[in-house]
Amino acid sequence: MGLVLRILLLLLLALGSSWALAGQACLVMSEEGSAFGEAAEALGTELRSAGHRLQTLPFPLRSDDGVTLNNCTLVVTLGARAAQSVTALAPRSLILHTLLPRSAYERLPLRTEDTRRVSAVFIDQPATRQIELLRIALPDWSRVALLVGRESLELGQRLQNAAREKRMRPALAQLSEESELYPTLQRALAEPGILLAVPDSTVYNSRTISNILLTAYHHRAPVVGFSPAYVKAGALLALYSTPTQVGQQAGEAARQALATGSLPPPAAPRHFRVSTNPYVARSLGIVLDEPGTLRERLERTEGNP
Amino acid sequence: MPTPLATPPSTLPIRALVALTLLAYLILPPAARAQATEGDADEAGEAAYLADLPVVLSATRLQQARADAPGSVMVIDRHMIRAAGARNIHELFMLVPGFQVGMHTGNQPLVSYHGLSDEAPRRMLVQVDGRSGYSPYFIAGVEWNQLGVDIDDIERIEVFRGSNSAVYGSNAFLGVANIITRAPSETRGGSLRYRAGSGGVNDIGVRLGARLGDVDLRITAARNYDRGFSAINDWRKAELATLRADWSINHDHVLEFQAGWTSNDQGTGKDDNPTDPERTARIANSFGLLRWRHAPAVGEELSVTWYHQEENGRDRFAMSVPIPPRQSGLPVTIGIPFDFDYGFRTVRDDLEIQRITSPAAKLRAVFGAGIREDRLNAPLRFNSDETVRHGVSRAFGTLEWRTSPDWLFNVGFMVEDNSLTGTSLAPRASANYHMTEDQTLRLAINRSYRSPTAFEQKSSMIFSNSAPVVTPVMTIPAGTPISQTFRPSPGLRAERITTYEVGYVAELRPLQASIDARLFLERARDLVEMRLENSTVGLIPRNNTRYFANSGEADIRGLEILATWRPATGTWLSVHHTELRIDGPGNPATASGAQPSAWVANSAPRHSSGLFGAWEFHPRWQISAAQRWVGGMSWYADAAHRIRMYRQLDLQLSHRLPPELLRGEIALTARNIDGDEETFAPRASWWGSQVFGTLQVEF
Repeated sequence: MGLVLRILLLLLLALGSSWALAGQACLVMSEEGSAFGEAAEALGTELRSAGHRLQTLPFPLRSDDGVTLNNCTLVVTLGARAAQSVTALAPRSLILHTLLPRSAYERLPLRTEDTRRVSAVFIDQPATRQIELLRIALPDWSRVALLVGRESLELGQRLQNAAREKRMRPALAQLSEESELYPTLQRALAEPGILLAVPDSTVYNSRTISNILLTAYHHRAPVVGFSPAYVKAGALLALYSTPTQVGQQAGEAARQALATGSLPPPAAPRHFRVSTNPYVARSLGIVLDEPGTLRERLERTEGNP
Repeated sequence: MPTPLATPPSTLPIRALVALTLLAYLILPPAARAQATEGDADEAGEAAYLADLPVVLSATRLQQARADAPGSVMVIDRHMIRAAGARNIHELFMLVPGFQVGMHTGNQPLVSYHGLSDEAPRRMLVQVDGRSGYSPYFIAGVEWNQLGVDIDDIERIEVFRGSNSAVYGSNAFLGVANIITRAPSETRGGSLRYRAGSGGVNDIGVRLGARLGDVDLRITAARNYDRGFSAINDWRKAELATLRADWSINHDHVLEFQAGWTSNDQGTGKDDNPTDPERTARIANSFGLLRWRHAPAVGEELSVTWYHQEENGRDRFAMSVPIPPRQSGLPVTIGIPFDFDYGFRTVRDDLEIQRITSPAAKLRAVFGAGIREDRLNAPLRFNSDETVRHGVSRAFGTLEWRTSPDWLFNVGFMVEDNSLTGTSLAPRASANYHMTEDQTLRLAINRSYRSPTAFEQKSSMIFSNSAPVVTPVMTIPAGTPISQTFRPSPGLRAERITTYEVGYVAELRPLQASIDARLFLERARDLVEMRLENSTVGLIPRNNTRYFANSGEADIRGLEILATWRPATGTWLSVHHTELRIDGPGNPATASGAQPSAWVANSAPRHSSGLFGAWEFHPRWQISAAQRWVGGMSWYADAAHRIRMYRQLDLQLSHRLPPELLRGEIALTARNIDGDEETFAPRASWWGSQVFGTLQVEF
């Protein structure tokens, strides 16, 4: 009797704990920085509001963390390195990668059968949205210069196509090394045009940014960036989603996954912000709408209220 | 070729610098390459979206939009400097409406805005990255040969046409030119320039730039030589070495360090002049500047700048000057030996703190304070071995208020306490009305000052014999005062000017054109003039001992128009025209009786015009031309020195080399090719043509 009871109790406990994990989301973060914290906070708030729990696993992961991951119903990763680590352990759970660019997601070694279990909320903006913003904010400018490296060539081509569709005149230049930057910039900006920055650390990094912004400024070319830091540094405007916006959207996708057992397809962030640098605008003699107005106009073109 | 009297100047410093830079360059590339791998771990990751960046276009680096500026500003950018084919910075002012550029000799440029000048124009201010180029020495204002900046290191020159003491202090009397050098982050890599042509033109320049850790570095060394104008001793060898290092301490803090050295050896004097013989003079200058800049956010900046500069002049010769009987009263001509030593040394220190902030959404404020001290030692100029000290402390503020999208108001002031002339307050106010998105109307009023230089106030030039002189009636012992050319002018006050202007700015973006017009009335009072009187000191009496007095005044009125069409960075056409009337009292400043005239009226041409264009007619090929028409004027204070109207034409063809062959540019420049003219005074010097080729290679 005692033995049977004890076995039954143990079985119940084991079942109970697996039930407990069944509805659980696990979080793996590349780092603890403030942006990651903000995204995790927004994600957690969204999940807690639906009664789900979020367990943060320490990073870097160990090889035996595969078991722990398998016990999670849903694994959410923040950042490209977390995504790579989780992918390497190939857990059987649902996986949502977020706060990573589309290019990093596309480079993950995913098998075709994974596509139904794995999804993402990107940090970067879709090419069409970026081009649409140029049209809205700078209607007098039709030429857009794109400087890309090997890594960002594909993104450059997407932007080029999107620009052509909007009847803009894209000029794409590819660099293979940093030393080509200055002459390439000079050529790209010889004619008046917008310089649309792309996230490629071989072209745009903290060493080159000063050269790029100054050269563009001297050619009186407005620079459009992809983070608020660009606006502070001297870009005319920037289009980006905050970690909170990305985290919240990931939270919504996670809720859906926990409720239905399936993830929505990989998506760009739905919510975004526009920042402007009024000092640069005035210096270049460009009349810009308020950032809020630009965002609303851009949202309307996407059919968002 | 003149025979230098002084020992040939050593070129050791410049050679040492070149060797050092070459050595540095050999070491630098691996370090710079090592840097390039940093950050690759995050390649294609999210780091780019989340990383902080330094403030590159800080408030001081941003150029104020013309439509918002409190005055007329013309910008000469790097592309224009190149297309102008200028070897020297002063030549660029020929492109600016309202400016006069003359050449006393081939090595003595004269630049003024709206006249009121003589052979030493001193009523405008030039700054290089905030460092004043207004020399405390002698009476010359801007020493164009000693600015300590290579022309190819300039990013742009902002020329503020009109007085502006409220921002730049006294000396910003008639106009201000701000030379802004390129950030070293823009000049990485190496560049070599060689230029040769007629008139002995032989210039060489080298620039090396690199990033070492968080420091962007640039070293420039150059030597320019030419023989000057024909038939006079005005050759010039100018050497320069500069260093700039910007250390990005973090994203918000930058420490900028500049240092430089220039040396000018030049021919001066005339072969038939008993007190000004042909000889070589030398002026050397060195400076250091340290600036800490904190830019925490867009439009917010705090900076502290300190600079120190020293200037040394060497011009010494011994002569026996023949004194004819009519001057000495003796029956025979006697020779008096003199040791002319025009050597000098000046030292300047300047410290300034400045804050730029935006206290409210529509308000922008700039305020700060500074202190400057000049120390001069020029025994012959001041008749004393003691150092002359001159100090100025200042406080300033500007408030810009954008009350609506249509109206912008700007008020500013500077209070200066000058050890020579006391305290002055220079206020300024302007209102800009943006009539449409493209057009702006501006009303401005301002009061500015120019403090007399130490020389104007304290000069005392007394020449004494260097050895005993035996005459038929007596023996003059050595050290006896013989002749007095300048006497002190105590009680000299600061000159003041009140400016009223109406400006119009149109930025016609669809047409890629702009128009800038300035209608002005400038009332200058208490102008310091050089006057003549009978000497009171010296064995040989003279009737032209000079002193200075606040006796001048001038009402300057006129109109300047500048229209530019610029469809591309390398293609533009600009045209400018100036109408100028200067009215003043009829009495001459130098009452020498030669040919009295209303000197101020002639001090600038009534009409002057210019055309400046460049055309990139084929990728990598550019042709540029500048033509100017300058009306008759007089640099000296009388009609006898009036020069006739003249015109000048410059042409240049340049070709950007195919990058697969070599990175760089080759240019053929012909300056002033439509004939020689006198631009200073009749029979003084002829400004001739100059043709040269330039090869500039980047590596």
